[in-house]
Amino acid sequence: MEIEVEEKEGFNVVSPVGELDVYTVPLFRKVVLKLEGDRKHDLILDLTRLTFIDSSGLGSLIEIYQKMNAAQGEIAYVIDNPRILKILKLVELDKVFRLFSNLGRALQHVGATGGYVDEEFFSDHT
Amino acid sequence: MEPTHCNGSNERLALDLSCRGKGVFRYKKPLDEIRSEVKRFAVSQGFSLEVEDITLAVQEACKNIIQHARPVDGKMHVECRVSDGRILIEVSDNGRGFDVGVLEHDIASPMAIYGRGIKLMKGLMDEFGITSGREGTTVRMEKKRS
Repeated sequence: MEIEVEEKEGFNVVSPVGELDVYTVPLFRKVVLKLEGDRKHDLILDLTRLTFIDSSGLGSLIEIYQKMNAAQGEIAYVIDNPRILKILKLVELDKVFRLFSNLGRALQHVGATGGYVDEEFFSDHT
Repeated sequence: MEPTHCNGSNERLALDLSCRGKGVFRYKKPLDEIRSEVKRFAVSQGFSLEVEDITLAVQEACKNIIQHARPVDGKMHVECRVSDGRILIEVSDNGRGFDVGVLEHDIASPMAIYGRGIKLMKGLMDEFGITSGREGTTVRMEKKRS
């Protein structure tokens, strides 16, 4: 797995490329939790280039969510792969995470208050 | 790592995989092999849309063995067969076992960091069952061919 990190419009955008599983989670945690110490920026996890996720990968997304919340930071997830979305829905994380179908929407809406956006897209992929 | 034994035929796939090793590297080889072998078998039996669900469920069962079971023989055993349009899978070990009663009231909440594998397997497969005792643990799963 490769992990790309960039700063966009005041956000840290982290894009894991490949598989997020029990084998690659340690690297992913290391990269993201290091950024978590950077309180200047909220975080967007761009998961559009993720090809596979297992329960360990899901656990790492939750851990990051909890740490960002504890630091009163914003966090959002970009997902356009129906397969990854299905896995999140099976464990009901779609009800917890702020999900967006593309990075542009996430950059536009993170920081705004209110519920989840892209409800039509996500309801189409069960 | 000990060599893997694989006995594949048109009707049945049997894998004995070592789960000894250190750190995250103990996961890489067996889980990659499980995924490729189970996928190959399922595809050969006419499964298509269900293959990703099946392989992930088997991986989760095997991951639990590597993480928790401590098998006496250091191995996990995977058996797949097809009957009446359903793939029947058994994943077993002869490790220390656990009290399956905890699963009835301890399925991971959405925000728990651990314990999500069982919930995932239940959701991915049509049938799921688990038995465990002093002689080890067996997970049985089924998925219907669409």
